[in-house]
Amino acid sequence: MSESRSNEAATKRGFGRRSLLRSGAAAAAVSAAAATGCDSRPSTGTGQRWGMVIDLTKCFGCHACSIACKSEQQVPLGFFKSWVITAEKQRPGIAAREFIPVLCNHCEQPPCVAGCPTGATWQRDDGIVVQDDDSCIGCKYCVQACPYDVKYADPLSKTAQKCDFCVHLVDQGFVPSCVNTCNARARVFGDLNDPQSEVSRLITKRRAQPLRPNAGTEPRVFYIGLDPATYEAARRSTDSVPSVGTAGKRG
Amino acid sequence: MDASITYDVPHLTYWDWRIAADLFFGGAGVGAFLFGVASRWWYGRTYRRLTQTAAWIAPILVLIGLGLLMTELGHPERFWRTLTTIQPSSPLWWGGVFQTLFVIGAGAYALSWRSPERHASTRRALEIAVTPIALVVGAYHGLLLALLPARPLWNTGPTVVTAILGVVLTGIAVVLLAHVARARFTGRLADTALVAEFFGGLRHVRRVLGAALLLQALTCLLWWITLRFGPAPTRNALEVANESFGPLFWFGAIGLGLIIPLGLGALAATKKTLADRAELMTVVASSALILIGGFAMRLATILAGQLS
Repeated sequence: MSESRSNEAATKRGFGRRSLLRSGAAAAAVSAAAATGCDSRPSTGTGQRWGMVIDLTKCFGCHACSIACKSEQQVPLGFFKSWVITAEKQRPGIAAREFIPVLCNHCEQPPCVAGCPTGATWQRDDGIVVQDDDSCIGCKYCVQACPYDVKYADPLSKTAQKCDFCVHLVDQGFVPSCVNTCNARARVFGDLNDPQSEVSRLITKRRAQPLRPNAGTEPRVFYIGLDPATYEAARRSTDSVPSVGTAGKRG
Repeated sequence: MDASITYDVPHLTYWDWRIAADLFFGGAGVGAFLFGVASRWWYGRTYRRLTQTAAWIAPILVLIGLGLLMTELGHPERFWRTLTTIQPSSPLWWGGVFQTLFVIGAGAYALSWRSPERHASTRRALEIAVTPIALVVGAYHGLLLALLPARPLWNTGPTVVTAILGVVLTGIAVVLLAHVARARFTGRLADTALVAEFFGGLRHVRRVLGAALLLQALTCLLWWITLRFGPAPTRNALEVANESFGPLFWFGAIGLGLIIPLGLGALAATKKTLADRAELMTVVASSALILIGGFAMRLATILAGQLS
């Protein structure tokens, strides 16, 4: 029952039957490789390139995605792998509130992967950037390298952490937890290599754009209705945020 | 329409004073080694004692830096993975590998100085082998930060030049202080004639130090211009850096570390009648200030850069 509901939800979110079958095959291949112990970093071999589209015109800032992520990923208090930036805009007679959900962009050219001295942060051939906790020395260079500030140093594991698109779910044919939970159905997850997938069609038809396209990282999380100035304002200031540790105002 | 951010999560600055201290001690160690080797190549036996002092302190300083770095790592017990992985795209990997090689090479070089009359050919071979490694480590101290496009304050050309000149300055300063301390404890500063003889041997060094200070002051000016008149992210980065760490940078790094030592050097150069002992004191004071300023520069850079 729950499996069919998840599959239905997955289909609705651009994660079609074909993708599901491919993912199932990939999961089987991963399991087989793991069982034989022949390769700790197996190829998914599916030709997929996972990505996400977030429709900001639908997001109403319920933060359910943040909570789902913390629950699914067991993120410690005070830290986040996915969260929602809230901004207010005012001019005479008009007040507007904008929400920008943020998470790891699983960049095509990930600076965190390039900067890691041990290869603990690496990119699977389906594009998902993952973290190998056993190899991480906790130098935090990847945290400094991320132009989106979506990595953090976990105080419990003492390693760098970030969103991994809920790879454990994706490999079983499901969507990431934040996508499954989104009340507004603002988040769509799917294969960017498939021109017929919902994510590909949304990017083309709705002119979805990534954050900081000039950073040269080629993010694979796209936004519909994004005002880049709002995001930059968030990166410039966290004045309104209660500090934890040595939180500071950003430039 | 300006946006006012009403909710965002805290963004922490993860690198603390220990990273700055790693760069400071590591840089001073590498600079000391290069200064010692250069002194011997250019002036031969004139600076033999100074080269010996430099050779002894170089690996110790780098080890102190690496020790501080280990306390900052989440999993220092896994540091060996850096040496068993090949990650040429990571500046940190280059740093880990080359600092390890440097400690081994500089350690062997220091041991070869236990008996200065022997092992001359071994020393020469080690100088040739370790000097390029030291240069890579010196450059790495700047590239580590400059190769991070995500941090506009660091992602500039002058960041690398400032780091390299910082390596040279702190290296010379720490060797001079150690050299003077060694001379004092071995009784070579007991009377005026000995001081004059000792100080006479340092004249070339003072010129090099003065030139390095001037170059560093110029590079800092270029760095400021790059940030102040660069694109919006760098201007914002400078504004935030000034707000939080301006006093540390301007008074500590520039004032104490550059301006006052330059002033003391100019004073010593113009006052021909200054006694040798007083002139020696200006060298000691300048060296101490350069070290204080060098640490302040790295601390301000590391802490402020993370806010950008």
